[in-house]
Formats: sequence, C-alpha cells, structure tokens
Amino acid sequence: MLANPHPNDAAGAATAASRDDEATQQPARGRLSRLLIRPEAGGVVSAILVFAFFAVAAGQNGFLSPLGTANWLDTAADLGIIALPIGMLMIGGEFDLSVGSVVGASSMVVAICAGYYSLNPWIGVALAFAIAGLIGLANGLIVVRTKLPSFIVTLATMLMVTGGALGVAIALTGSSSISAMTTGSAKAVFASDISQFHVSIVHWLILTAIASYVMQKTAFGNWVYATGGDAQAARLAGVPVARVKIILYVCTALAAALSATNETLTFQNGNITLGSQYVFTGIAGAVIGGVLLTGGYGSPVGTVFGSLTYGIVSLGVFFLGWNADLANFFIGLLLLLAVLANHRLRQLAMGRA
Amino acid sequence: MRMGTFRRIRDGIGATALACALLAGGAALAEDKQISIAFVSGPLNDSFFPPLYQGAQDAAKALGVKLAYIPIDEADIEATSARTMQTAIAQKPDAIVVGDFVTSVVDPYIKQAVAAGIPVYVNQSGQDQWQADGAFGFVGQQGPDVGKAAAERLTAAGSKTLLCVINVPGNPYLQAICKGLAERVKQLGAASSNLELPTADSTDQGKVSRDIGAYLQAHKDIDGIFTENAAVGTAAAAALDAAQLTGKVHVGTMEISHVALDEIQSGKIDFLVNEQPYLDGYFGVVFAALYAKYGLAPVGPVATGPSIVDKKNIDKILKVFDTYPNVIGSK
Repeated sequence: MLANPHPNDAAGAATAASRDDEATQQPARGRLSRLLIRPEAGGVVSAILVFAFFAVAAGQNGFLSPLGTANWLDTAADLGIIALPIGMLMIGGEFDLSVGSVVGASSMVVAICAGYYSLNPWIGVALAFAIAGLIGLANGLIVVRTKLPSFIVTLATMLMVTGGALGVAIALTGSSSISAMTTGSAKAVFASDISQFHVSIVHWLILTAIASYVMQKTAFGNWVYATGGDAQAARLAGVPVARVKIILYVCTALAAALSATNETLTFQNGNITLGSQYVFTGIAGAVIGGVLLTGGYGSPVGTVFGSLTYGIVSLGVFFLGWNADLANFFIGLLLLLAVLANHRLRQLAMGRA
Repeated sequence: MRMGTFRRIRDGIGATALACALLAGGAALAEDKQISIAFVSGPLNDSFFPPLYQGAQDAAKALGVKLAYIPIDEADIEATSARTMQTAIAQKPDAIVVGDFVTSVVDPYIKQAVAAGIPVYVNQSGQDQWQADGAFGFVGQQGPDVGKAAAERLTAAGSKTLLCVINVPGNPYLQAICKGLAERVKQLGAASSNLELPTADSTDQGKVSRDIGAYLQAHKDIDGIFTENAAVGTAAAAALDAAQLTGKVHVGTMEISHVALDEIQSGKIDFLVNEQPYLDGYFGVVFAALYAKYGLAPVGPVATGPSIVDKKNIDKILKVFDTYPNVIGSK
C-alpha cells in the first residue's frame, strides 16, 4: 500500500536537504545517550515500563498467558495500522483528523456490499479501498492547494465523510449498522486468527517493515522528513512537497480502509461510528512513539512502540480487574510524559548539533 | 455501536386493544385536512433508532399523516434537545411526539407546547415526567424492567455471579438497567457487578471483546454476562469463544442484530431483549394522529418491552428480520 519512492527524481538534491535531524546530530558522548536521542527511544522506554508493571501486577491474572498476550497485541495492532501512517503524515508536517471517519465509512461500504447486497466480500473490500483512496486524495489536494491548516481541512472532511456515509447508508439500507457475513479467502486475509492471534498483527508487522524501509532507505523517506522539517527549504531543494503530502494522505486513508475491513469482517458488523476513537488514539500512539507534533522528526518503529504502550495499558487495567475508569487517565499521563521526554531529548540532541 | 440509548418505559396496558383502534381510524384520517406531526427523537447513526424511524414512517404512510422527524445529536444532547423542541414547536404541528431523554431540558418545552395548544405524546424516555408535563400519553419500555428480566433469565440458566456491562459511561438509562438487574439478582440470592467500558472503546468491537476477555481473566467467578447492545453482546460472545468459556458463562444482550440472532441459534448467546423500537415509532405517530384528530388516546402508559428472543421464538423473528428491513433491526 505504500507509494513508489520515485528513486530517480532529483533524489540527490532532496537527500542533501533531508533528514535534517540525523544529519545534524553530532555523535553523542556515550552509547546510551546516542540511543536516547533516537526518535523511538521514548516509545521503547514507555512500552518496556508499562509491560514490566503489568507483567508484575497482572501476570497472575493472565496478562502473560497466550490469550492475554493476544489481547493486548491485537489492540496494539489495530491502533498500529492507523498510527503508522498518521505518524508518517505528522513527520511530513500534517494532521489527519478524518482518519476515524474513513474507518466508519469504509466499514459501511464493506458491510453494505458483503452484507446487505450479499456480494462477494472482495467487491466490498475493493470499493472501500477505492473510496478511501479518493477521500485521502481529496484531503491531500485540498491541503496542498489551499494551504489551509490540515487540522481544519481534515476536521471538515471528517464531518463530511461521516455525514455523507450515513446519508448514503440510510438511503440504501435504512440503517447505520449492518451485518456482513464473511467466508472464504476474504475471511482468511482479514478476519482469521493464527492460534489466538488476530491476522491484523501480521498486517501491522508487514506495513511497519515497508514503512521503515521507505522512510530509512528511499528518496521518498528523505522527502517526508524534509517536507516536515522545513517545507520551504525542501521545495527549494527540489523535493516535490505537494506530491509527498498527497501520497501520505492517501496512505493514511488506505490504512483506515484496511482497519475497517479487518474489524467489519471479523465481527461481521459494519458500523458508521467504528474508528471514531482513532482521532485521538492515532495521534497519541504516534506521539508516545516519538513523533514530533511540529513535523520532521519521528520513525515508523517508534509508532510501533507507541501503539504497544497503548495496547498494554488499555488492556492491562482490565487484567488488574479494575473498571476502565482509570485506563484513559494512564494513557493521558503517558502521553504527557512522552511529549515532555521527547521534547527534552530533542533539546539535548539539538544542543549538541 | 450505539452511543445514546435512552428509552423506556413502564409496564402497562395490553397493546392489542390499541391495534384495533388504529386500524379503524386509519382510512378516515387521510380524508380531510392532513394531520402534521413533528417527531423529536434520536439520530439514525445510533443503531437503535432506524427501526423507530421506520415505524414512524410506516405509520405516517398508512394514515396519510405528514411527518417531520427531527433528530437530536447525542454528542451534544442537552443543547440539541432544546433546539429540536424549539424547531418542532415553531412548525406549529397538530401534535408533537418526543423522546424525553433529558427531562430537565425537554420538560419546559413540553409544557410550552401544551400551553400553545399543541398536544404532546412522550415516547421511549420520560416515563416519570409525562403526566406532570401535561403530555397526553406515553409509549415505551422502562429500564429497570429490562434489568429485572435479564437477571431472572440468567439466574434461571444457572448463573450465580453476574456482570452487567455498561458501554456508555454515565448514561442514566443504561445505569438504570444494570441497577434493576443488581436489585433483582440480590433478591434471587446471586451476586452481580458492573463493568463500565471506556468511552473511546464503545465504537470498537474488537477492543470491547478484548476488554471483557481481560476482565473475565481477572474475575474467574463470573458466570453470566448482560450487555446493553448487540455489538457488545456479540463481542462478549467472541471473548468467551476465545477463552473457551462458551456455555460455561451465559450471555444475554439488549438489541437485535443478525449476528446476534445467529449466535442464539449456535448457542453462544442465550437470549436477546427485543426493545421493539419499531413500535415506539409506529404507536407514537398513530396515537398522536388519533389524539390530534379525535381527542382519543390510550389511558396510561403503553409498554413496548422487555420482550425476549431466544431459541423458542427465533424462527419467526429471523424470518421477519430478513423479510422486512429495519422492522426488528437492520438487515
């Protein structure tokens, strides 16, 4: 699902202006401090700390059992599939608040095709990805053409997508929640379990590997860092800033369609409100994983650990046997600590430049 | 997954007598001046409301009534409850049907409408207020009764320690159901507790399933679960399936979906509470139209639930579900 990195396009010029962080970071004094100024350091540390805490506090209650591990890994994977492109988009300097609404709309498309009209599920899946891709394209085009803050643009498209999808769903089916029975190959690809682990974990790992490769090894990855670091400088250096942003928006929307397909076919139910939490948790996962809100800094691997942290904490409180009242408190606290820690580490890194 | 969900009502009067009254009234109503009804209720993105909307539309069509359905926004429930009632009153309809979800906000508008000469019929929620507000009647189901029925079903199935899952924290109607369940469970000599899911999870079935699964691992004595919508019910069934507890832990849920019906057949869910929202909409329009035209209305509240779906009556429900979209639930 990730874009062609365009290796032949003005790659040399772009590389010079890109990865400003890594390029400008001087070698730190010790190995530990060099590790700590990597973008994913905050996410790794928080994931390890919360894992250790819940392993000790809730290990007796099945937190470490295969089923328990599957529980929090599945949760991390669901978020990770969204947080990964959200993180890349934020590295590129933009937000996408519409991602949750695209999940809901895609879920309805899959369910209306596979459930209401009893079509082959692959038709619904293809249509959902196509529509999501078009929404991502529209987001990207509006942002780069109007130069309005993406926060506002995607807030508007979020409302439009939710309202539009609901209107179409009510007109076609009279409902906002539709059953979608699944069998065959679509079930195997999107809705199966491997032992007790959901297949979305596999999607997550594959996408992370691709994203890491693209961000580290290709010209496109350099362009993303350059675009988010200083769009003007990147443009002058020949980076196709507009194209980079549009591609990132399309990737984010396609990831939303994948997430929607997984959930809809697994639980055989399409719902317009599915995914609405990702507006917040997607950004939280990326930021805990070390992505800088102002762009230009972060890594795909970081968002993996940010998502893991979220999965562990949000399931861990249930393994403690508590009510969920405190889960969001911990997530919020972690978010605050992560932003503070990343800010400090960033200052340290820049101070040595 | 539905967020709002305020419904309600009271055991009351046999509804069958009413059905006769409306059949007789139907044809005549369409003849002279067309009756107009403003219907203030919940949004269609809450899966409870499409059948209610369908019922209201079907009744309006059958009676030749002009219907304006005005939905509130559950994310901004107080402000939109006021605005929708203002809109309804401004339209000067022959009658208003309203779901009185936020009584402190809606009650003054009911009184205002009645004072302006517009009769008001309350449905779903407001079972304790409608008479004082001057409304001419009430149709719906009462929360504690749902909890009571669920408690009886689950303990009869052998459950000793029940879990009542609240999917919208702070929703008074959902709280009242679990409270009704807790009280009845205590009388029956069993125990119960509540699990409130985080707001952010309520739209994510996968997360809800894993939340419940994790909670059960920490509370291994739980052997009965009641949930307050079908998506959470099927999520609970999936959690039990993953933990190989199907059959050992009994599950009942409010609301009907196709997947939930399938799981009744496969034995993963024991029973569903059919809230019959279609009747809320259908009777709401019918009674409002009859009252506007003839001044006739049922005396006292009309109960639309709780009605139970289990293996005994599933065939009929499943057939209607597949034949008529949005009468029982979405296809």
